[in-house]
Amino acid sequence: MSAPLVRLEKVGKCFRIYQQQRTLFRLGRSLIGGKPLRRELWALKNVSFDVTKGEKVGIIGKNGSGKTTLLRLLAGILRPTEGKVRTRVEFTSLFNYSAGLNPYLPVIDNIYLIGAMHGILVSEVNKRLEEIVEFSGLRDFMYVQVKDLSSGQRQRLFFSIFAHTSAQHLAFDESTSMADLSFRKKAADYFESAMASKKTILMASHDIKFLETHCEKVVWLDHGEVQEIGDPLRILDRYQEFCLKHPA
Amino acid sequence: MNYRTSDYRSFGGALWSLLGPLAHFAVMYFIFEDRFGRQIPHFSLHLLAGILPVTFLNGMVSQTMRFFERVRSVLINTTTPSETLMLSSLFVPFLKFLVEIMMCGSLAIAFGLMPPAGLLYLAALSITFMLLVLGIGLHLLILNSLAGDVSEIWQVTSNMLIFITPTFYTLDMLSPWARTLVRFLNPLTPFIIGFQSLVGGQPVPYYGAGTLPQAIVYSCLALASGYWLFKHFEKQVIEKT
Repeated sequence: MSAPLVRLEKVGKCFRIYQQQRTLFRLGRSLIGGKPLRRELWALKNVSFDVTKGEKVGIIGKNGSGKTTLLRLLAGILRPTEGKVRTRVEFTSLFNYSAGLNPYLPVIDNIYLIGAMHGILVSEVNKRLEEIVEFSGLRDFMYVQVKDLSSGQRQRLFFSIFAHTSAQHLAFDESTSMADLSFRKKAADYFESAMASKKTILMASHDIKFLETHCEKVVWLDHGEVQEIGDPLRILDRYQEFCLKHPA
Repeated sequence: MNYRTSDYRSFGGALWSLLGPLAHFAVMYFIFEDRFGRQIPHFSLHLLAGILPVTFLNGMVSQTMRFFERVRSVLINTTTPSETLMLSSLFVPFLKFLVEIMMCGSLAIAFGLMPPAGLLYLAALSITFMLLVLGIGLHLLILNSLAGDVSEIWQVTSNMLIFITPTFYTLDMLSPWARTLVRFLNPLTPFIIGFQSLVGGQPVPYYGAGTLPQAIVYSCLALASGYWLFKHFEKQVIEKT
């Protein structure tokens, strides 16, 4: 068995969220009075598992269970409050389908901008521009400012750029809810092909069937804690039972 | 990319963006020229060299205060360093200010008030001033994240800045206590009198050997403490579940 690409050792993440005071006066009073300005919220606790090269890991859990926080820790966006995240590689991540889009720039400039955020060099974008444009289905909108696109079109643009990275290690939150049916089919095809490739993939999803088919390992989170890790079939069954017993 | 979305991509656009400070200058000039113009040599350049930095500071600080609102989704979803985003968003305003102050310097050269080499001093002082502005912006960014009324307080204060900074007057026109306050408690003062002395071709009152060191100390203090605050609170401010 190959050495893990990523190793999480008793990882915990606590958000220390500063609560905005209504006035500067109140802020001063709180500081002088020694009142806490922040509250703590543990999003993850005691999470440990390994990811090996080429492995496909699915992360499941209800809304607010800590899935995206876990992905952000794995992608190096967040740092753990306790425990260690040891990574030998950098993950290219996709958690939000509009982060970084400049609404005042045309679609074509945003391709380069978002490409840069995903670590795609200008020369690489130049090579893949035609494919990205074709994939997005926005050929007629190349010189339209992004603010004039619909939410679904923005999502298509963003996803198309992400889908053309040559990164071998991906972390993403799979949801293309705003895109139309034809693009969702394209996105699904992309996910299928990515899952069939040798890429290492960490994926948060609510699509039980997809995870069952493609993942070698599933991590089930609830209230920031790992419920189970391992065989997708068994865990996904138990997760579905759990969801039926404990509806939101 | 911020440059590409700015009005600075064309000459016409650049001229258009100068209209704001020029309109401000015109109003101030017509109001104060009669009262102060007789006592201050080259009043128009003196006024311009005062208005440009104050206008720049107002715009920059207001922009910096909204930094987290604008880029939170990028910071929370990518590994892009916050410093890169901050500097990239400030590039255009910095460039714009540099061009404006250089144009002011060019006028001074045209009037024979400043040698061409003075542009170098002007550029150095402008860069030091930008560091001060960035430092003030970082302080207010964090304060604004912690207390909801800071942006309103800043709006009121920024309107007063033009009056508590020696833009259309000189320090010797003030009463001793007001002069002490404006000279030492307003961090803009050493910069403003520095700009005015450079473009006016002669030192304005209270410009001396200590002015430049005072300006540098203010800049370093503002930037160092502002950056420390920024790094200390950055994660907590943007990390929301």
